[in-house]
Amino acid sequence: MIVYLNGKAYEASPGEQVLQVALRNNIYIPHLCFHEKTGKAAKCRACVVEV
Amino acid sequence: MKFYRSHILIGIDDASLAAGVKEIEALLKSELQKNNLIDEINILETGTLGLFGTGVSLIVYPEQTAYVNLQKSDIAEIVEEHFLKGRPVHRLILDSTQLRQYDFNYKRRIVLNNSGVIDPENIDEYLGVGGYEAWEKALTSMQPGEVLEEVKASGLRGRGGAGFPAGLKWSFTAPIQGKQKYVVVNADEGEPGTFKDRLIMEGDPHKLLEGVMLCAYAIGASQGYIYIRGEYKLCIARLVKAIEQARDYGILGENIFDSGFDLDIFIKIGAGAYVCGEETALIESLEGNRGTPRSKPPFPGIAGAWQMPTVVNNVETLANVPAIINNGAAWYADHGVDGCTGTKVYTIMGDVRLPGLCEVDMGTTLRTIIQQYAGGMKEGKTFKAALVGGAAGVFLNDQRLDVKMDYNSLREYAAVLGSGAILVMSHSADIVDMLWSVLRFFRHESCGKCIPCAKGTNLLFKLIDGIRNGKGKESDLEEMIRISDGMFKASFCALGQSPCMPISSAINNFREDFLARMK
Repeated sequence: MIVYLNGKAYEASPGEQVLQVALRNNIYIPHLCFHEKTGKAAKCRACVVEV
Repeated sequence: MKFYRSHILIGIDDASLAAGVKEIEALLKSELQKNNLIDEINILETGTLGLFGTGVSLIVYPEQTAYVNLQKSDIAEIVEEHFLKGRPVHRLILDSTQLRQYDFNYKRRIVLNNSGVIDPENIDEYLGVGGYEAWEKALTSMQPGEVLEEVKASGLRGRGGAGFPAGLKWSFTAPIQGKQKYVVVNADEGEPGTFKDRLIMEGDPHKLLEGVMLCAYAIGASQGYIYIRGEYKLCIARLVKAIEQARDYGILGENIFDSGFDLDIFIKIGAGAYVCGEETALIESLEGNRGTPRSKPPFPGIAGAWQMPTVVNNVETLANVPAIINNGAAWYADHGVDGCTGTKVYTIMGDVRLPGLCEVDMGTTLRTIIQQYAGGMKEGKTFKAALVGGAAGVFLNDQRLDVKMDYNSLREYAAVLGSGAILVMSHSADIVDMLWSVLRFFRHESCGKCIPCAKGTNLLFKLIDGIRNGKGKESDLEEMIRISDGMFKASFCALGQSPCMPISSAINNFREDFLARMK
């Protein structure tokens, strides 16, 4: 699956979060409550982006 | 059947219970007994009579005399004068000119057509006015898909606030094959100033049950839950009774009407948190967890209560369904306006002469509602503003009096119909104080799950509190709009998205009220 971040195409696998794709490709999005071991909590809203 | 000379209808609701209606009713009975009238005069309990702020009231039929603000000391006099000698006690009567000013609009009522007419605690009275006919019709002569199509065609939209089409919501859940599906009734009614669901459940609990049954049949659910706030003691008691009666009559249970369809309905009592009116938070609370919203998707229609497909609907939405099945979608669409069919129950408060509830067609203007159904403004007061839709609503000024009250028309003014609460304010009211109490409410009710809402509601309250105490500056207004706009974009659920509407509408329409506090 192809997703576009800031106009550029990136490869993403189903079920993956936008944040994960971004971090993997060295695009920094501020985040606090997400951790790869616990998954999304969506509480701190620091990583809110426009989709 | 026994023949009675007169029928006394006593309105039993929370307000009259607080005023001691039960004692007065007992007294009335014993007085009638004493005068040997008990065989001639029938006492009937019913839901609210539609007279508000009148304490204990009763209406005597057939002459339709309304007695209001009754005290225990008045009862002997009424029995002796009115029932024995045939002379109404004028001192206690709601005078006829005043009674005529009430426009109850019974002709166009769909949801509340039985409220104040039948005894809500007696299933036979509901059956007597055509109750459960829709349920029987659906089970014996309609396929679940037909029920669903009928509701879809009627254009019924959710009455909880967002106005999502009910038929569409059901159609997400209906095709899913699963072990278990649920219908959940949102009877949490937390919006300040809203009490329409309470009056529906108090006045006609069986209608809600019938709506749940039809929804359950349409989507293939075998269990229904009514999530009701714990403060609604009378509603709970009446619903419990109604469910028991329906079980006794075989209207609920296994193999209903030999159709092979099973359904049971349960009641879950909530603790009155505002956020639990949000459907995913409601489901969390229903499951026994802390009431905080879940992330969507998956939507409840796919994975709701206990991860099973669940339809969550407001009380008023479901109470519309029996009439739709009975009379057809076309009949229903004849009420209201294009794109927003049916009637809406409003609760009107504030500086109007006859506060209370009214059920009118969708698309009725705010001016008509205030003038015709709420008796106009109080004497000597002029209209300044109306807060429409509860705390999560908008402030409308007098330029907007002719706005049609339906979901689409209000959206043109960036307004919402919300829950249908209308708070009318005259020039003696201060918008700053109003907004202060709205924001205090949001600060109190924010569940604390997400940062924008938890922090934002606090920041907003601090700003408005400063303005209210004369310490504000003009830039605070822009700051409040900025913060609430950020909350609208980033908050987890509708609670955090709500404050922007009252804030921006109050500041845009009534800026001078705020500036007056800054001098």
